[in-house]
Amino acid sequence: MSTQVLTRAVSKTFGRHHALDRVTIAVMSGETLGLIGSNGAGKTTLLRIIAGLLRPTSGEVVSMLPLRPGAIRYFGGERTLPPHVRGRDWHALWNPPAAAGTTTRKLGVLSRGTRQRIGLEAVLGTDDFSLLLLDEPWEGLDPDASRWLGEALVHHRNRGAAIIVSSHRIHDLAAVCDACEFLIAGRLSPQPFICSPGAPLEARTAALFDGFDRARQ
Amino acid sequence: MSQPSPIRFFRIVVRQPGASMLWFMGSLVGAAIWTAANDLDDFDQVCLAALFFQMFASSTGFRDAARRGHFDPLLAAGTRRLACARAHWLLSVAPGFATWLALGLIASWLAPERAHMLLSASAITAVVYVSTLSWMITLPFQRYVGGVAWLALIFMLAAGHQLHSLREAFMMSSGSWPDTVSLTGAALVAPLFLVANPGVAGALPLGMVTTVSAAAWVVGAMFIGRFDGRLQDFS
Repeated sequence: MSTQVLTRAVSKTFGRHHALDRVTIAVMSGETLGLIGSNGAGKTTLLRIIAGLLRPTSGEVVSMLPLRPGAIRYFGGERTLPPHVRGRDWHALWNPPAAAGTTTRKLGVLSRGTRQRIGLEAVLGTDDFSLLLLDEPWEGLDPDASRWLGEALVHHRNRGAAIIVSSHRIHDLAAVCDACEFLIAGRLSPQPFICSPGAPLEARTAALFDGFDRARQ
Repeated sequence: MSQPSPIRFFRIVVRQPGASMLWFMGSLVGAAIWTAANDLDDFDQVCLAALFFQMFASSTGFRDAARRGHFDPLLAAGTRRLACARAHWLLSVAPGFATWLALGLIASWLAPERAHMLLSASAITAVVYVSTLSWMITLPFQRYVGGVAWLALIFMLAAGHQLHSLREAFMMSSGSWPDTVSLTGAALVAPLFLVANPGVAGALPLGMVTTVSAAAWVVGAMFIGRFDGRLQDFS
């Protein structure tokens, strides 16, 4: 495993609001890193900085990724999909062969879960990226889609992609993550939480909840 | 799978409102054919209407959609921002350019004596300038803002009887340096003069208008290149 992306003391302020305060994280190839935090903790801001969509106020993002378009995949959730675009057209942009079975209705009229699934399928449908950034990917998904997402994340991790996932859904994160970082009001907890690989899911989930509670104190 | 090119991406995501756009384009082409065949004096009005159409058609906007995250997959994927700016400009101005060229072909075919209104250096300079400035002005705003702003300015000038003064400044140029600057200024504020009077502006004023167009493009490309918008709060 080699480090794919490293944030080094990244801070971001919006006006007087400090969204991130000297955040340093690293993600390796073949690793899934979970980001856990309350609403407004800075998870989305951190993911968007790593994706290159926002510039940090201070600090830097060091990337060891190949310099080619498509090396990074980012999905910010169904709310970021353009509502006037047809599902099939959106899918065809990223994965033309798989677009045939997708709805021809506009994304804006589809249910939240269907939009989320279409957005995720577009991002996860191929194996040619090195870094995957997902912001609240389980939001709106039904149980089948949640299972599909979990399997897709494991597949991409096993083939060597580096993955960062932010979510409130600790149970789902415990199932797929190798490690988790707790983001509390823009600051990281001192130590990442390492998920015990051999432990049963219930035990991992309970331990992760414990870790989050301790980080908030 | 390959990463979609910026052109392909923006063709889907910055798509112009299909029905209304086609209706306007069809109306302009129909009006051009009708006036070229039956009422040549009104052909000038069709050309000016096409210029106004382009003011709105190229006002596609960027910031609003970017802050909603619509461009995230493209911008996050490592695509060069300059390529994104080029593609966004191209797709924004394409419908108006296509209409303009269609009218030019109609004029060449049915009314060759009027073709210079659309295909002269002066007319092409005007349509490039209108397209690029409207595109650039609208980047930080919602769709059509550039067209609305420009139309409002022209109405205000007309209401204050300033449009007539501008037209005089445009038409009465003696070729001296101050007159050339006045002519260029008038053309920049009301580029319809360049279309309605294609033989008036010489190479120097047209070069200055083209320089302003290029500068507007650079400013627009820098806006897209440096765009650092926080995601809109959806809550």
